[in-house]
Amino acid sequence: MNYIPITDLDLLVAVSLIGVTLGISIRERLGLERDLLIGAVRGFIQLMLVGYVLQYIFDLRRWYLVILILAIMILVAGSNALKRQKLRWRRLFWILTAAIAGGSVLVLAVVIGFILKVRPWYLPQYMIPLAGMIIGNSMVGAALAANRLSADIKDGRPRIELALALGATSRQAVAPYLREALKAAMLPTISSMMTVGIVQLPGMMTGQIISGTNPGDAVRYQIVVMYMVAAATALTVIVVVLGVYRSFFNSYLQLLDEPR
Amino acid sequence: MEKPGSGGKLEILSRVNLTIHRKRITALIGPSGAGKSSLLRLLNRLDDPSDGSVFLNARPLTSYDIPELRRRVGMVFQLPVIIPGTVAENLHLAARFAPKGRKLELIPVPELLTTVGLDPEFAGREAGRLSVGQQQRVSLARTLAVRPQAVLLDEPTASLDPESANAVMDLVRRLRDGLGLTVVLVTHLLAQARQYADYTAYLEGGRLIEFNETGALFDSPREIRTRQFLNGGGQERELYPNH
Repeated sequence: MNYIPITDLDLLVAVSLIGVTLGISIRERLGLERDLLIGAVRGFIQLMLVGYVLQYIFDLRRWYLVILILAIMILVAGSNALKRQKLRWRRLFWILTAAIAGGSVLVLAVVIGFILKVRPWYLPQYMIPLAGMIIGNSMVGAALAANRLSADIKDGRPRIELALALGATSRQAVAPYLREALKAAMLPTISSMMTVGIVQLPGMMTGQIISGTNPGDAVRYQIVVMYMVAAATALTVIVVVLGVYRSFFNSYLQLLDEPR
Repeated sequence: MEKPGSGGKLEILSRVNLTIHRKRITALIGPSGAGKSSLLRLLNRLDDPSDGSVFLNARPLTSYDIPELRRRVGMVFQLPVIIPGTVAENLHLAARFAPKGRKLELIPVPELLTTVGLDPEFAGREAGRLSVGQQQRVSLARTLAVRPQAVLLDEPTASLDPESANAVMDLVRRLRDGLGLTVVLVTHLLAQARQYADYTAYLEGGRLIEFNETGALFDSPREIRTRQFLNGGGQERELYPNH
């Protein structure tokens, strides 16, 4: 073992750190004590539980368990992306979820199968953390893209109908809005690539370094992750945008009052 | 025709049977909510009737390729819709919507500008900077660019002062005469219908009440409801004191 394990006693010392935050809140009368305590306890319990679950899955090493976890992660990501939408309709959850699933699984397959060449492919140690990062980022992109596009289409009715009246297909009529939504959703990923390593040290890389990986190797992992996240976000966002705009039209190239 | 409304479907138009005459101006008049604009939108399939059919040149609209139909039956909206860019870019907007692998034969920009009474030097100007009246002319010219057979005008002068309104309508009349354009005009201005339309249809509550040559409809309406509406000077007159 290349790293220093944290004992129960160490953990207890760490808990005392929360006392610092608590002290500031009390001294400055921020009134955050209650939320802070709940947050601290909840975070502690959630992480411990995840630790046990992951340990269980890592020990069992069953492909179907790994698939199950991925499915749950994708569904939760889908409903989380839905929760962030101002405008919702029945099919939107499935559009978001399918987009996240499609983009994530494809990129994950490439990384696991051809870059890291993990054998067996379902090795939870690789599969779950990588999937978590991909799905999390895809979720943010999906939510951004859907919000932006549905708002733009709602507000853009006069311009869209103008285009339709001039013989545009529905895709042509919303083309400027599709581009804007794609850009808005991919920008965070791109700008984080610009500053990575200078402004922030990515969590995964720091984690690997602490657990004994030498920085050179950790950086290689981080580079793969960076491109993987960018690719998955792009794929997800494209599917979201196509699904969202189609919800606003019927097959007669008519703009609907409400998406369906 | 029905539309989804609060608490189920809302009936907007029913039992409308109307023939639009080729190369003529037909006005649709009636109180607000009569279904004038809804009827207009059926004519280029921006909406479809839930029941019934619309024919163009003796063929049902549903048998046409939709983009093709919409280029053939152009539309000008109540408020001029201007896209960011120059007047020329606005006029040739339809070029962006050409079917794959085909180039649309658009009327050249200078010719379009002359047709709608604007100086050809307008081409390079920022369209958003023009006056509303000028923007509406640009909108009309943009619709004409694809050489439509008919144009649908949805209250095209509602946002214009009376002088520019007359100028636009004079232009529409010249287009009928010069290009042989078929025009369907939705208007709340009885004087406008009377002055410019060859035929007038009176709608009320989603029904076609009366349809006739404009002179006959205004001078000797057959239906009592038409007479009442015309005698009232159109119910919406007081809402638009400037007109």
